[in-house]
Amino acid sequence: MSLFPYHVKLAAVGLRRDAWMSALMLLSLALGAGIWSVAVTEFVHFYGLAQRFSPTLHHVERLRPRDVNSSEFASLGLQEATLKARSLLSWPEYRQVQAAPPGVRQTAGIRGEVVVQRPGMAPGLWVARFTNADFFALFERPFEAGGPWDAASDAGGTGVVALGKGAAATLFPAGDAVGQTVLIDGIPYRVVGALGKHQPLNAPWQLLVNGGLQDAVFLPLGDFDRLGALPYQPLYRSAVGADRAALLASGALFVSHWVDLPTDSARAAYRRFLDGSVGPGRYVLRSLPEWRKSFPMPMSIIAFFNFIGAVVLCGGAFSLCRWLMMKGLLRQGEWGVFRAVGAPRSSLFWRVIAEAGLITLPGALVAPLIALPIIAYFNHSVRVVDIPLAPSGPSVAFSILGPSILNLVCACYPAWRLSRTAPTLNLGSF
Amino acid sequence: MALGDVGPIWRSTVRHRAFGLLVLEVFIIFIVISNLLVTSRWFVDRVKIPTGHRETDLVDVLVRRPSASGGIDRPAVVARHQRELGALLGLAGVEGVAPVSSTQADDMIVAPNLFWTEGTEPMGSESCAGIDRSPEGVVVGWAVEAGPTLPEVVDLKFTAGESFSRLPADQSEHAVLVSACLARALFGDANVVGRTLLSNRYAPAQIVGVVEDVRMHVPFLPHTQVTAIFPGLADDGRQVDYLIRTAPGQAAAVRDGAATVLAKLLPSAGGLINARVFVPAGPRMVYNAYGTTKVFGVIGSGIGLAALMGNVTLAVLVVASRRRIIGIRRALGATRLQVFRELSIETLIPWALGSALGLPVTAFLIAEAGIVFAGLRFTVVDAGVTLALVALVGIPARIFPAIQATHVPPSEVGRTL
Repeated sequence: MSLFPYHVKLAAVGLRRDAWMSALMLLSLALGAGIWSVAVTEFVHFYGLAQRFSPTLHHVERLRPRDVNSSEFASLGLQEATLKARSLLSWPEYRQVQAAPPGVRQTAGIRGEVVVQRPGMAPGLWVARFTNADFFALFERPFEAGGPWDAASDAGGTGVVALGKGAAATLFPAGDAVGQTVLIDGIPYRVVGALGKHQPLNAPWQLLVNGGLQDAVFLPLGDFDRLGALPYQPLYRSAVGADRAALLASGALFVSHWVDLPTDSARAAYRRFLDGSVGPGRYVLRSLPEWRKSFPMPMSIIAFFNFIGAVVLCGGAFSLCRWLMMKGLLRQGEWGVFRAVGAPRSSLFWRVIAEAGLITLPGALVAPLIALPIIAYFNHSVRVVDIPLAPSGPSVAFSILGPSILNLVCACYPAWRLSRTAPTLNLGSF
Repeated sequence: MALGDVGPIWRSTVRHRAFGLLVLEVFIIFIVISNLLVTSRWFVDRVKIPTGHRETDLVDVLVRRPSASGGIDRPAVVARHQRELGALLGLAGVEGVAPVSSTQADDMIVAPNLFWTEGTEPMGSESCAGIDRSPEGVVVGWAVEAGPTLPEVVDLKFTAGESFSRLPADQSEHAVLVSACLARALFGDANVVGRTLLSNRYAPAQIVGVVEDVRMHVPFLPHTQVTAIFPGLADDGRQVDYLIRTAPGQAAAVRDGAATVLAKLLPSAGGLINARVFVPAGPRMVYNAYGTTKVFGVIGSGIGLAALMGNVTLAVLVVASRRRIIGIRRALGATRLQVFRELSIETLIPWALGSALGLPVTAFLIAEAGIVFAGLRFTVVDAGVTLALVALVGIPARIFPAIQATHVPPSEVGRTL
């Protein structure tokens, strides 16, 4: 291994001897790695690998006798609907867990639609989340400007609203949202904060993996009643009358509820509370990581992107493997001379690996850059969700590591084959 | 070239040490191109499937009313509803109006409904493709609440029974229309008129008619043709959609007129009217379908270019490694054209083999994916187009080295003898 720098130098000389071919191969690998990078960026975006939520967040699944929704959705393979049916609570179920023991932080959220209008602009129908102030802290939603409303406003009626990143940019492109007034369903609301990040696709409070719109405005939970809002697309479990009161009294599922239980004693205390309010054996308390394991992400087009990305990655690696092999065979005479003057097999092996590394690493390093215009084009052309696809730390790391590792692994085969070149190869030519 | 030349060319090709890897590469290119092609077509097909009703001369108007902080007063909703209906029916060019809870043009993903019936019967002999029923006899589908005139307004085709509007008022309250696919999934081939439909949303309802399948257009939604239409106001007190049948060619004028008259009935702030000429696929859906296809095109082109560059480089190496052999051929009297033909055929073999391997594998992969994504199919045309595209990518990789080979002089052989 002490001769490795020497092998690298020889490998560089080898690449320069066929400069245009090396350049073409590098471009080919970089392009393939760029497409892999797009797939990886999608994957990271989809699974929220760049966004980690607190593992102390907990979810309460209600075990309902003869639950026609979740069992039927599951048996028919409808993963997303199953997940919703098992994750959401009805309004009466939420009321049972609402009065948590003192000191327990919890958040509830209801998705609805409201008409939002900035004075002087056309109104629009936007997705709203009715929630409490703790939502932003528990789910680590950073604010670009301002902050959440105070806990006293959770009861509603104080006319405060927080805007999602996309909504703030649309309504207030100058970035001066905080302190401004918007009309929500015709009622004036003061903007107290604008979020600094888009919603993750796999947000525990609202999955958007198969499309949909992120929460655009955040309103205090109490305003759900004040505005007479209706939940957006609840999952019904029985026939429900036409009015809002009947819907709220029914078993229809639309409340997302999470609770923060940072210690074992807090979990034990909360279990005691649930035993009392819900009843023993009628619920399952899971931490967020356990919830993720219990509810696999639904199938989506991302699977196809991943498949294409992986296939292209393999194609690139095979191509490099064949290229190294062909180059090596073409120069087998030289290898024989090296061997004849005393080079061990390992030196030939490492020289091929070094050559592979020299052509792979630049290709892999530029992959995230090559992916950028494709990602921009994707964001321009596809709006299944209103959350733009963007590279992140993990996606850049995977983009570089994937092709680097696979190409080097595949280079082992030609390196091994060529290292077996016999020292006597050139005897026949003399 | 004589047929007898193929044997030596074949032997020369398969003896090449990187032959297997080249076949594998072509196989991969084939799989990628075919999958991108089929998936693109599938996305576009999603927005082209006929809805099952008359789509032309139809206007869709969404009315969103302001906050109802004091709760929703149903009698007031009914009265307001009647005023809006009256205003729309009074417009010139309007032939009929029906409120609906959602249309195919609503391109948001909606919550599915569950349907079942008393007892379970075998599924129909002409069961709809891709429709599953749970062991308990439950089927997933989509419920629409609509005014009693909807079948006439959108011109639904009845295969059994009759429309709500022909029923006595007391019978229409708990009635339901079902699509042919839902009828077959739940009741098999039996006559379903008069049977009871149970669901997770509405009270038990008696089936009064069966209509030809009405489809939703959203990708990834299962069972888009399993539909039940329940009669009602289709107005949750805050929001309602009106489908308006217009006289031929009057849709744009009616759209503008409807927006104007309904705006007058809305309070000054907090409401919203969105009037548009009906298109069966919502604008977001169409944008995404074609956008996804374009992105696949960009990705496919990138892959094609990468494959092309990689293969040209490799093909040049192949020729370089065989200069002596080519030189011998030239020295023994082979013309440049003969060398060109031999090399072309030789490089064609791995491309043909890779494609031949890719064909059944792609067919299998897409058949498997089709279980999840209904309508995904690998047709003969897809296979043909893929073969053509793979050949297109391979042409430079075949021709360029073959041309290079023709420039190898017969004296090349003298360099090593």
